[in-house]
Amino acid sequence: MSVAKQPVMEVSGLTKVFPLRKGLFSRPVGGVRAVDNVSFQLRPGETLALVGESGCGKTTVARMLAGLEKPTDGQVALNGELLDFSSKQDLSALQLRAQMVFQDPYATLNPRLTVGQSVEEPLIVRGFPGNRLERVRELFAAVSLGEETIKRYPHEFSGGQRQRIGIARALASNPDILLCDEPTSALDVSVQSQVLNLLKELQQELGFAYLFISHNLPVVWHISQQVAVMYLGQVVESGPREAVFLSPAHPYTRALLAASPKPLPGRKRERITLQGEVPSPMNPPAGCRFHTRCPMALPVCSEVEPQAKNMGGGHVVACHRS
Amino acid sequence: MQDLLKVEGLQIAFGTSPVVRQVSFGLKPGETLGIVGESGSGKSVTALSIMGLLSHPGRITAGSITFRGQDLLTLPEDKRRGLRGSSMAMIFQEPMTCLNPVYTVGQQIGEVLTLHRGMDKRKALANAAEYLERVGIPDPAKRLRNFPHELSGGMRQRVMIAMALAGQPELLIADEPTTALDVTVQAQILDLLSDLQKDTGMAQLLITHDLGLVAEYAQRAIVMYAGQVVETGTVQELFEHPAHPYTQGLLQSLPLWGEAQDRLYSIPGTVPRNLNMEGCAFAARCPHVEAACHQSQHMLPVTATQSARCWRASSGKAKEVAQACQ
Repeated sequence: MSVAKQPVMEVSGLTKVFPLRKGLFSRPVGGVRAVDNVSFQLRPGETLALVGESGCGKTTVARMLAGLEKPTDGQVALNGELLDFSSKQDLSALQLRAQMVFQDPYATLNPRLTVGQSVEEPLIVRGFPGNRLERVRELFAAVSLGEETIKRYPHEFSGGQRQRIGIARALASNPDILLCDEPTSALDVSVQSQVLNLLKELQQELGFAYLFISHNLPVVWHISQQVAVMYLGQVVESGPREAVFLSPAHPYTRALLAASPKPLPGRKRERITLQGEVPSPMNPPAGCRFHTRCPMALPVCSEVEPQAKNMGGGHVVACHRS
Repeated sequence: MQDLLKVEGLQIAFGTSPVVRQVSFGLKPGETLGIVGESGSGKSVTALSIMGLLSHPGRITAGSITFRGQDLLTLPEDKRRGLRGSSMAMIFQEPMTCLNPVYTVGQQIGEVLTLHRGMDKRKALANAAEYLERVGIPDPAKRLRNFPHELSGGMRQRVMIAMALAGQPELLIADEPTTALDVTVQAQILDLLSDLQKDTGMAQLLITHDLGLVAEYAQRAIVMYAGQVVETGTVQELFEHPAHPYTQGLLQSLPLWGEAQDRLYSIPGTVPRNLNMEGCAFAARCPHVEAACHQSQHMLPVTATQSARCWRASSGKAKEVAQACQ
């Protein structure tokens, strides 16, 4: 790898606790630690993938970084400057720099606006100085949509085209960071490859940093350089994609990799089938959060929370066994 | 061995527009046949028509569906209802849409047992617990009293499988059974289905858009495009030597981990909207299109078990095409 560029975003100890309320007067009765002490860096031109099952907190991480959710604890630095999440000014700076691309673009497009108007809206909100229509045309060209599509309505487009529109709108404020939350999960295989190619091209041309959230491991392998695996709000393993995919050290990562179906018939399956399902984040297990499903748990795992260990080369694992 | 299910020349139309055209395949007892295709390719509609659940405006305009030698399309509705839920059962992507929210899990599995197997209510409830245990639900006696909303997604899927099994089906149609589930739970459910299949010898029709699942769990598969079967064969043949350009394109557009791919192949264009066409439905997107493609295409044998709806398939050109693609 070339000389590491300065990170555009540094996240350390990011934590989000959603309060649980009960009763007539909404008494707080505890909290859900949806995201617990998550740290990573995003570099220009690089993709960090967050991998995990539903409820592991990966979307909450993205929502916090997009300024849609206020972290309970932890620090986020944008281009070296620490952000204050209660300052309106800092928040709007963050929202300019980091934009989200959602799973279901149809749900995020106003059906009564033409897609051109939808893409123009962020320009109006931000007070874009130049010719807005010209900029919309540029954005549509950037995502390979013809000029004639600008005046159409969302229902006239296919899923893949809508996702392109979602990406064009995210690009409108000229961000440094795209937070992609399962951008291809709702798409068919042949369309998925088009959107993945587009995201890669945009990154190569414009040098975006991507936070790419997905549970589809082949897609993650294809698009990312760095991978972080989350389980119940915590990062259990992270590092360069080769380290995480080819020499996984955490039993959860191994199980995820083994469970991911591969289009190779007759392959001898090394199936590490996990028992049960992800426990409720309202009441996470003590010690290592994974020990209730872990095929190789030790007595210590149910008592002591494992500390992150550096395996070298940026490969970090939180497991007593490693 | 004789086919348990045989679909021949099936045509389905919504109003006047055809959505499924000339679909034919057979399924033997104990076998898993995968149906792969993208959204709108007609795979679910085909499944619904086998179950007799096709609703307005969909109707079967031609073809036959034979189950255990019986023509289902001429069978009176009450006889058909007797088959549905007992001899043939279907599980769906979203269990919450087919579980009744106001009845307990036990009542719903029990209903199958009283209706199709003539048990009285008490016996049905005891039996229901057995089925819950078989699908790997811990503490089944307690779970019988749960309502669907009290269960997690994976548990609901298991309950739906238990309901399907309660009728002792010979044919199980699984329509995207794990699309709504996490990967680790998906592996549990599909392993469960193939274990149950080994125990009971039922045949399975696995409908999915995930090529990986077909490769792992099916023995044979059919690939559908724009309402037609474009290729069929054993999974080995389909994944190692695909003969139809659409199958080839699909496989090439898959990202594979462990390999360095800078760009993924993507099939140009989109699925045609109007299926009332002469000639190959894939012609407009095919990288090898020639004049012959605009005449109507038939399924041509490639090997004894593989065939493709492409005139090149059997002429030895398929290999050339496959090589050109790589």
